[in-house]
Amino acid sequence: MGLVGPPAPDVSWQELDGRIVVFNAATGRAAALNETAAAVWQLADGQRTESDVIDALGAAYGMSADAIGPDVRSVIDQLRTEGLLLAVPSP
Amino acid sequence: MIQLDIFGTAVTVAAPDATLTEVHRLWQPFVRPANDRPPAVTFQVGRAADPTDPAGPAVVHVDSIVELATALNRFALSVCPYLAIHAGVVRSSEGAIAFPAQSGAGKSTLTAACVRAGFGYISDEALCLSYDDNRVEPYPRPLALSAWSIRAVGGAAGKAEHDDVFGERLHSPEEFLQHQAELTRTAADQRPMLRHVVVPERATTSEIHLEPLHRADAVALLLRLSFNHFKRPLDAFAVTVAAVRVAQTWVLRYDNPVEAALVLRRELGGLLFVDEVSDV
Repeated sequence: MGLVGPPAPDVSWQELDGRIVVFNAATGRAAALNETAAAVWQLADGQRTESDVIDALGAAYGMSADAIGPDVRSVIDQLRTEGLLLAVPSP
Repeated sequence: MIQLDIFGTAVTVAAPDATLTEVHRLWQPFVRPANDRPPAVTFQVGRAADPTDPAGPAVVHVDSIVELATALNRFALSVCPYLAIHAGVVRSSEGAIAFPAQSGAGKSTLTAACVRAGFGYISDEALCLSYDDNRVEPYPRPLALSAWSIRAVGGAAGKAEHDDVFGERLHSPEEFLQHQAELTRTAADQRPMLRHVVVPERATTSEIHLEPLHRADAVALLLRLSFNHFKRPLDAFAVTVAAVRVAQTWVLRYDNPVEAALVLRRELGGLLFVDEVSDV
């Protein structure tokens, strides 16, 4: 299982009124993250594994890892597909 | 010939006198003294290319004023030193109001309806944001209305508030260009701040809804609609965020552009550029 993040080098982001908008200068694409994606984004530091992120968000939302895991993995996949997060293999 | 300043680049327009008079009126805020600077391009209206023409700067041949507007718009976007976003833009005394949308979404018609409701005209094509201070820059294009738009705006508004706003001059059977000097009116600040971003969405019901839009969504949309953010991507992101932080952001769902403009006048208007306005 890989590490989550960090953000790709060409990606910038800003917080606006409690939400995060990210911009990939390499592709020219911008996206406003929903709540789940923003929560993942804030934990995506290149140090945490997917399990770490799922556990942290499960604790934050009072949900089990089984319940929240699919959504979180889906978000991580999308952020990687968009080139917003680097996919780093675990050491 | 007439010389125009297109974002700091000089171009000349060559045409018969009657056409030049009309070009002068249409692009009046951007007219500069003839031979002020060497032109980058000459736009020749109404005369086919002649192989015996003397060599010189690039010459673009167009058949009509409508074609000239199209060619100048294309040129303006190519040399624009600002972040240019596909949008209609009007202004009140408080600042600029942008209607970001793709082509065919009704930007020009809504912009025209807003002008008729008393807002000042800035552009029906592009919101240009300065990279230096986030201010909205003037855009060198007359308001261009289709025959459909003229009917939509003129037919539903009842008494015309400004006969000069929608006159009788049709530049082609399909399109009408409106003089910028008359639309811009007595603008106190030629580089206003962006105060509102209003995303227009056509609805099928007659009710008009002006609802808040999250600023993060507005930033993402504006960048998606940019013509040239790829030239300075990080600056484009920064200036868009900075401009939107100090603006209010909305979605406008409407069917009738004239009534929508009156709602905008009531909700966002500030001090408008009219002496008298009719009640909503």
